[in-house]
Order: sequence, then structure tokens, then C-alpha cells
Amino acid sequence: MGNRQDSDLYVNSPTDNRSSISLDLCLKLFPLVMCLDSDGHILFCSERMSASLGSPAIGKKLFDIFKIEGPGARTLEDRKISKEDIGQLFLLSSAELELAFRGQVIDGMYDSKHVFIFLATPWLSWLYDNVSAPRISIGDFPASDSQLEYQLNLCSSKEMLSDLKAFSKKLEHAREQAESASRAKTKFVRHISHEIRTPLNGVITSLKLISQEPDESRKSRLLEIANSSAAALMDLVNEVLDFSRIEEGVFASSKESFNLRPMMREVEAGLSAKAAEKDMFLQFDLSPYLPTSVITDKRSLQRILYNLIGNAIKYSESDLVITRIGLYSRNKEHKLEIEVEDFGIGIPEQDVRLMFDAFWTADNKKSNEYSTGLGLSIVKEIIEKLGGTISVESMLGQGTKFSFTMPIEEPTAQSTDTHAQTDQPPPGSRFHGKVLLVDDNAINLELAQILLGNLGLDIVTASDGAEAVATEKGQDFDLILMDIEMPILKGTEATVQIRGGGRNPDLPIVAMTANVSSDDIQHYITKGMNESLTKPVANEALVSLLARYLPYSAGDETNSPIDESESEEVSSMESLLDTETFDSLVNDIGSENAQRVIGMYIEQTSQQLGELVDLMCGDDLEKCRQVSHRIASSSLSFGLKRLGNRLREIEHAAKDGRNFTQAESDELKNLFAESKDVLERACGA
Amino acid sequence: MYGMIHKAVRDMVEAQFGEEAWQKIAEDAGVSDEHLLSLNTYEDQVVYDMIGSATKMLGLTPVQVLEGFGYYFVTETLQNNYKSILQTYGKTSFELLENLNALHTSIKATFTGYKPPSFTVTHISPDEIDLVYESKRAGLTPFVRGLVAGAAAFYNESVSITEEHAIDFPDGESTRFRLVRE
Ligand code: HEM
Repeated sequence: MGNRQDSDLYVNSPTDNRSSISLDLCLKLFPLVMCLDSDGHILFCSERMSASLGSPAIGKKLFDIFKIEGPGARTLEDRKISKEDIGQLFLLSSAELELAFRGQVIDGMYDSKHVFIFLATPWLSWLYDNVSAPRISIGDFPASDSQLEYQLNLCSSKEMLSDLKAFSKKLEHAREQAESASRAKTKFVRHISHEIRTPLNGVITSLKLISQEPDESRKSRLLEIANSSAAALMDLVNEVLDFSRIEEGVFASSKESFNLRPMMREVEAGLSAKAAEKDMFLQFDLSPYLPTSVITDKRSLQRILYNLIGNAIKYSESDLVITRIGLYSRNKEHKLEIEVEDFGIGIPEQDVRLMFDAFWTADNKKSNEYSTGLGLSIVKEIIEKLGGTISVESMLGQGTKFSFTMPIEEPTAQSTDTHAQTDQPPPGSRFHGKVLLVDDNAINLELAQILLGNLGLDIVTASDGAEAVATEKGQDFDLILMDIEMPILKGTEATVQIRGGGRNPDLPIVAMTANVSSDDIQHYITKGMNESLTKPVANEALVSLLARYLPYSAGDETNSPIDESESEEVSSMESLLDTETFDSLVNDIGSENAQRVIGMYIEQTSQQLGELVDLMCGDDLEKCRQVSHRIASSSLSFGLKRLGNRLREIEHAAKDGRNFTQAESDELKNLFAESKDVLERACGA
Repeated sequence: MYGMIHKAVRDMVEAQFGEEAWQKIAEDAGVSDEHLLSLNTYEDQVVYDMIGSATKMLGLTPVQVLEGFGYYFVTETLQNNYKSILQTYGKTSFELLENLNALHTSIKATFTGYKPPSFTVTHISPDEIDLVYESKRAGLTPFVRGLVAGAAAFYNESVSITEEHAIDFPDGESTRFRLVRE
């Protein structure tokens, strides 16, 4: 470092004391070098410079070849290089040659003369901006030149800038979404409060009016309003809870194997009344290629259907809603393809896009139904959680079609003849086997016999436990249906005897009883019974129970639908007769059978009731308990609710050893007379 | 690695397999928009996770993904912003490879904390070179194969790798390639 001055870094001029850098050193540090005189004549070019200029340049004037873009305007005017230019940044460009240089002019020696030496580098930014494929290479640059780094920096900064822009756009979008979600939630709270107020008012007002209402039938009408308003409230609250559960990610799907057709019938039954109110027809088209049973989340599927069809009923103003179910099967992938289509008012385009969003409710909703606005977003979430998709198409004035898919597991083959499986057999199925039916109540025995006979079974009856034990010994049965409360030998004791000594371990014995506490059922099971069936026995429950134990074959569907025409008189009957139980009984056994059995019931009960009224005033409370039990159970079978319940009370009171007053027995007589009346009328209708 | 690399992986997946495929991979690898800022540095693990998820979701082998990515990086990613720079550093693929250390040194001046690989070229004949790749990272040799193929495509050349040997290189990876230009 010390004696740099003495080295050949600086060459002392013989004429003046200016120090100049040797051309040799310049050529080592810079690939592109030129020597110039003060008029700009080119005296010397380095090899790379010559190559880069292309044609010979010695003797030419720099200012004729290049446009001087720096330093300043002065040089341009006098076209001379002077001492003032030393140390300045020179910028030269030639569009014609597609060349540009940047560099410095320094003081130097060439051919023993003072000259200006131009140390050049390619002017990168000019070249990148003005020439598509610059004729430069890395060898043109001195190692210390930072232009390339600068260019890289520029490129990457540009890129980073656009990344940041894209990112901030995304953040902005997220912020907008969050804000609109929060606005929607506020709107939702307002909306739901409003929706809740209406049914809540219904509950409060009708309860208030009930206390002041002397008229029984109007009272019960008010109670009905309170009930239905409370149910609507419950639905609203449930929907909100469901939604928040799904939002929190606590959605548990549970797959089960079930039959599609009965499932669809349940949906139809659940919605047909609402549809009828609006004069709307529900049509269900099930593809013939559907498997009989599928494995998927049945509850969710039903829920989706209730929701979509229910919406169509509520809002579409269509007179027809078609639900189509088809099967998509490819390789290992199976799914149900379901469409719910109406031909009503349609949905405006801007709403179609939003309708799966939470809290959306159509503004043009004309109905006075209560709605959380969550239904569709819940539906969408559920479908997606189950691996399906949902979409909607709609045309104003033409209708709306929802289409969704629901993955199912490999369908089992189309059901053929006989099989013993656990799910609900298709309606019209015929069972095979011999059943021992045990009940001390002749009416119940008759009813059950009709039901079982209709299902194709051989039936043998016994009217108490002892008779059951004896009958079982002589014959082979596939199933025993056993009442519990019976004289001589209770059902549980009869079971113990039938299974005694290790006999009949595989013979299913099912309790038929109105006692349904889990303790009771546990007790029956410890006595050797398989399970219990609740009385009064409903056809549906009976069929699925039988399917668990007996083989069946699918028959044709000849289930006669019930026609529900009675309406006006119903309200006066209501408190005495539960029409639902009554109707389903008539539906299950047919009206002819019903008329016959009801005749039997009235005849027998009239007589037994006389006996009971006497017993109530006497001492034999055990007998009183037994008789009231017997009549209660057959009365309830026909839906005679008030009578049945009163008899149950008497049964329990007798059990507790309580005596009855004359007034009580008179009242029972009247109740029976009224009930008989209502029953006869319902039967005649 | 720099976000620039992440972005390049995303661009490749989106271009070749669609946006949805990228969404799945990003979700699986735990990558979000924050990981796509080109001048930000991230743990190397992020890009390894991305490659791992891509392998899983696209049903390809890691070698296929890395080779494809190397090819895409030169023929697509660098073309957007760095095309002129590539041209400045090389007029042929061999020249580019020779100047790669200089290029990466320049990059280092911008991308601070950049851990560049090293490429050493030895000429065997005008159309044959010996290329030694050294990196502080492991597992990226297939990426280099893709880059070489991409560079050849960029210069419209046909270059093949005729030999490839691993070289012992503690805490990283080194590979010697023999490249022949036809
Ligand atoms: C202007 C062009 C280029 C730019 C801006 C660039 C930039 C980068 C960046 C940012 C990384 C990530 C390194 C880190 O984050 O530590 C990287 C890695 C890498 N680059 Fe480049 N690169 C360029 C050209 C090339 C070319 C042409 C090749 C080879 C033909 C190449 C080979 C590699 C390799 C092999 C890696 C992986 C790192 C390793 O092996 O350790 N690059 N590059």
C-alpha cells in the first residue's frame, strides 16, 4: 500500500504534473476501453470494444456514432471533451447499433500523448429497456460492476411489489368478507329476534287467554295454538343450535344401512299435510336402478330432503314438487343423485348465488312461516361434510331445481327372495313363520291376530301364561309375542317356564306391554325375554320387529293409502279419541276388520265396565285392578285416550289400595258412554 | 428458501394440474398466501413439505416432482422477470452453467441470506462438459437435472446427461454430471 505512488499506477507526464493511469491497467480492469482526443476522435479501442462496435471505428468521432445523454447539455453543444468532464458519468447510446455504454472519462497516456480514456460498461438498463436481445455477455462487465446486481434487485423488487399487491388484495378481500359476515350476523340476530317474537307471542297470549276462557272447546283450541307456536319456537332454536354446532365443527355423521323406499315414504308422510294445505302435489320418482338398501347417514339425508322439499312447499307457490332419486355408480364410487324441482316463482339471479350463505333469506319471501334463514346453509354444510355437493338452478317465473349428491357405500345387490336382515322390509312384504300370540285381552288378541295374519304369518293364540306354556310344548314356533300382565301366569313367568331346563334357547320371546320404562324392559330381559314391543302395537314397529327374527319376501306394494277426509267434527272428538292411533289402526287392518273388532270391543267392554263399576265400590281391589288393566289396554288400542288414561289411573289407585267413590264410578260410566259414541261415529264415517 | 421458490411451485401446480390441486396441496402442506412473498425467506422445511404434499396429492414420485419443477423454473418462472439476465449470463446452456456461480453471487447481493449452490464446469470437448453441483441442502439433485434440461430448452439445444455420480459431501449433497450436447 505504502509505495503505490512509485508503481506504474500513475505515470508522470513529462510536460506537466498531471498523474495519469496506465492504459495497461485500465485494460486489466475493464473489458471495454477507448482512447479519445479532446475533439472526440477515437484513437484506440480494446478488443472487446472493437468487437462490440462491429465496424472499424478508429479515427471516427464518438459524437457521430453515439448520442451523448450525459453529462449534461454542455458537451452536446461544443462536442468537445474537456478537463471538466473527468470524473463525471458518461452515458452514450446508439439506437442504430443497439448499443449503449456508461462509464468515466479519465486522464491517461496513449502513444506518449495525453489522452482521455473512456472506461465503459454496457449500459444495462438502457439496453434492457430498448433492445430485445442485447448483444452483451457477462465478459463485457468488470467484476466490480454492480449493474447486474442492481438489475436483479430491480427485477425481484418488482416481483415482490406485485406479490405484496396480490397479498394485500387477498387481505382486503378477507377483511370485506369478515365485515360482511359480521354485518350478516347482526342482521341475523335482528331477523331471528323478530322471527322468535311471533311464535313466542302465540305461546304467551294463548296461555293468558286460556286462564280466562270458560268454554272447553275454545280452551283446547287455544292450547293447540300454544302448542304449535311452542313447536315452531323449538324448531327455530334447534336450527340455530345445529348451525352453530356445524360451524364449530361438531358434526358427527352416523352411517347406517336402511331401505330407501320406506325412508322416502316417511318423508312424504311428514310433508304431505303441509303440501295439501297449499294444494300442492308431491311427486317422488325413484330410479328403478336404486338398490333396495344403502349405507349412508340416513338422518342427515332425511333432514336435507325435509328442508329442500319443505322450502319448496313454503316458498315456491308451485303446484307440483318433484323429487327424483337416481344412482351414480362408477368404479368404486357410488352416490345418490337427488333433485328437488318446483315450477313456481323462481329465485332472482342475484339471490341464487347467495342462497347457501348463512343468514340469507329471500326478501321476496311471501310466506308467514317462521324461518331462521339457516336451513340452506346447514343443508350445504351437511352435504359437504358427507362428501357430496349441492347446486341450484333457477329461472324467475319458471321454477327452481336443487341438485345434490350423497355418497353411499357399495350398494348391496337388489333384494331377491327371502332374507333375514335387520332393516325395514319394503311395504307389502310377506313374513314366513309360526307365531304364538299370548294375551288375556280378547280384543288385543284379535287386533294382533289381524295384523300378523295380514303379514302372512301362521298364528296360534293363548289367553294366559299357563296356556302359552302348554301350547308351546306341543308345537314348534318361530316367535312368541307375550303380554306381561295376565291372570294365572304372568308373561315373564311363562317365559321362565318355556326356557326352563335349557329348552328353546333360540326361540325369540318378545314382551308386548304398555310399560316402557327401561327398568321394566331390563326386568323382562333378565327373565329371558328378547326385547319388548310397546302396546298399542303399531304396524310399522311390528314389521321392523318381525324383520329382525323372521324371513320375509318382498311383495308388491298394495298398501292402500288412507284418505283423510274428516275434519270438522274432529275437534269435539279430539279429547276422547286420538284420531292418529285410530286412523293408523284402520289403515293397518282395513276398515272391515276394524268395524268388526270395534263391535267386539264395545260389546265386551260394556259388560266388563259394568263389572268394573261394581268392583270399584266393593272390596276386591285386586280384581278391580285386573279388570281396569284389561279394559284400559284395549281402549288405548283404538285411540280412546281419555277413557284409557282414566282406567290406568283406576288401575294404579286400586293397586295402591285406594277405594273409589260413587261419583267416580258414575263418571267412568259417562266417560265410557261418550267414548263409545265417538268410536261408533268414527267407525261409521 | 425464498418465497420466490414457493411461488414457482404454486405456479407450476396450478398451470399443470389446476387451481384446485394447488388448494389441496397448500392445505396439506400448511402453506398460505403469507408464504408466497418472493423476497421473504422461510424455513427450507416449507418447500420440502410442499414437494411432499404435491407428491402425495398428484400421485407422482418426489423425483418426478423435482425434475418437473426444475424444468418449469427455467422455462417459465425465470422467463417472467429474469429472461434478459439469463441471456446476459449465457448465450448457450454450457456458458450459463459456467457463469452460474457469478450469477448466484450477484443474486446473493440482492437476496441476502441466500444459500446458493455451487456449480463447477470442466470442459471435456466443445460439446461435452463435466458439471459438479454442490449444495448445503440435501435431496435436490433431481431438481438440478430438471434445471439443466430447462436451460437446454431455453437455448433450443439438445443436451443429455450421460453420467451421474453422487460425491461424498457432508451436511449437503454433491453430484457430478457429464453433459453432452448433440
Ligand atoms: C436469474 C435467475 C435466477 C434467480 C433469480 C435464482 C434465484 C434462486 C433462489 C432465490 C433460490 C433459493 C435459494 C435460497 O432461498 O437460499 C435458488 C435456488 C437454486 N437455484 Fe437459482 N436462481 C436463478 C437461476 C438459476 C439457474 C439458471 C440455475 C441452474 C441452472 C439455478 C440453480 C439453483 C439451484 C440448484 C437452487 C437450489 C439451492 C440448492 O441447491 O441449495 N438457479 N435460486
